[in-house]
Amino acid sequence: MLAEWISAALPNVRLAPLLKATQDTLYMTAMAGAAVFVLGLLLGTALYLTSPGRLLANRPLYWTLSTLTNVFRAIPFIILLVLLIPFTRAVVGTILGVNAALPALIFGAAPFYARLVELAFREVDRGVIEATRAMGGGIGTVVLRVLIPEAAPALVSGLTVTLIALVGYTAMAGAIGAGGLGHLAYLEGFQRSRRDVTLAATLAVLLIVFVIQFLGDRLARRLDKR
Amino acid sequence: MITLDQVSKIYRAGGNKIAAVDEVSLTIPAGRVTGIIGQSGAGKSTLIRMLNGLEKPSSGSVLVAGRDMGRASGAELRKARLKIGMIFQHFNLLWSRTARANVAFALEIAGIPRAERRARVEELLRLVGLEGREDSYPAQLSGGQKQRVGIARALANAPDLLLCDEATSALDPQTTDQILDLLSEINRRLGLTIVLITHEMHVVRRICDHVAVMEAGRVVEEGLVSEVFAAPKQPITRRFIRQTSEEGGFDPALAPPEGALLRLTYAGEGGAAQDSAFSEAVLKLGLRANLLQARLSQTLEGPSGEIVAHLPDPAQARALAEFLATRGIGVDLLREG
Repeated sequence: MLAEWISAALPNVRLAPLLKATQDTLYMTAMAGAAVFVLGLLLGTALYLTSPGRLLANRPLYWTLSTLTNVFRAIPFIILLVLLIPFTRAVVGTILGVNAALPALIFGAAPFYARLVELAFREVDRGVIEATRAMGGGIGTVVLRVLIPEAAPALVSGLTVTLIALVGYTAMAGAIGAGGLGHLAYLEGFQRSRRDVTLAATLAVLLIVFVIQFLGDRLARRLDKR
Repeated sequence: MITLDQVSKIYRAGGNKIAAVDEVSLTIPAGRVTGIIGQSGAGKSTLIRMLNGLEKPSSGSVLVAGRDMGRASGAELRKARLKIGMIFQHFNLLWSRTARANVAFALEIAGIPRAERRARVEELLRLVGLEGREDSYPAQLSGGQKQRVGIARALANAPDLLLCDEATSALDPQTTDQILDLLSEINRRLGLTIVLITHEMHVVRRICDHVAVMEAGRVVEEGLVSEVFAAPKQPITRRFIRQTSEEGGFDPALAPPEGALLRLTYAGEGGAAQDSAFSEAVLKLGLRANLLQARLSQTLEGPSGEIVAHLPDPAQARALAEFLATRGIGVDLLREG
């Protein structure tokens, strides 16, 4: 009954390609997301520590990191994809497929997450950091045992926002050859005038985004003991 | 224990130099409770942070247990800080950790093995009276309980020195007294040195042996609490002493409009008995004096008393002041008449 109704409403949609595209989008989002989490955390920590008035305040270094971050954040993603083609070919060996999308996804999203990490760390009470130093804690203790755990809910919320942005980026990457739901919606759906395929791909993207948001919110709430 | 020699801390704000701490020389005795009192901006916060190296002096030396805190290396400083506990006005606990885990944090920093940490944390939480709340997060604790966690954490590595940065300023009066009594008890039981900074005379009166009064970066008066209170030399000290009286509610506006007003303070050993000097003076000098207010309050060295008297004749007020001064009673002329 339901299957009949679906095939009537979406006559061109085939389950296998839809699932494959969903899987590709999830793969790109997860792989890029993992790398963005690590790189963004490192860059965000460096930004925070070197910013004026913080533990390793260093104006030239902060300025350099900050400018680099802003430049990568300012480049529109579709342009970044094209700009990074030579780099991608050198590193991945091809400019097609899900893996070829990863460098651009990471370069596009890591600076964004780094800013969110910096912001999250700024919200950590200076008094707690002072108390840690007064107890004899060094920079490593401050970062690993104070900043990250105390900022954990904000780090998770930031990651949620970043992952959702990444899903959007994978769609753009898909349109120029990475595969996934963006590819399905644009090349298989739009360009071949199969509106139902575009619609199905859109619904799959929405589902992914809602699940990420739901899980992210839940984890952030659980971590928040304030 | 602690010796500060010609210590200054200069901040540059724009083109101006501001001395937060200005040529302070001070000796803080071991095993005692020393209070540094001053209004906000007097430099006491900067001063106490130099004792554990959170602030470096611009000049002068800060010796704590023989170590020059201003010149110690990073590693040396971290090692020294394990033996210097600190508690804060806003507690500064990690909200992501339970009471137990907050106390354990200090032990983790010191590299104490997990098994040992457990037992020590239990012992510390018992010491500060937090049995039953070990697994609560700071957000689930009252202000007083949070400060108890802070105290347990500060005592975790058995420090020789405990620094208290306005530790009771965020607490209500009743909780303040409980925390002060706990600090006093810890001082007696563990024999550690306590240095506290405050803007409240009540704190100094209740638990301090020694007091240093700060104003505009300088220590303007210091000594035993009993002596400094009996004979305050600086206007700022008198202002602070008046502050505690005002907490007691004496309002000069309620006094008769004519005549002199005197505040008499007596403290120290046998303090409570000294108020007989007042009636003695009244009888001997044949004075006409009205008692407006009299009260006793608890201090470290026993009760300390205060009398506010109204004398219609200003000449008699001066005679009374002279007589009482010879008996070691503090006299403060509130109104000359």
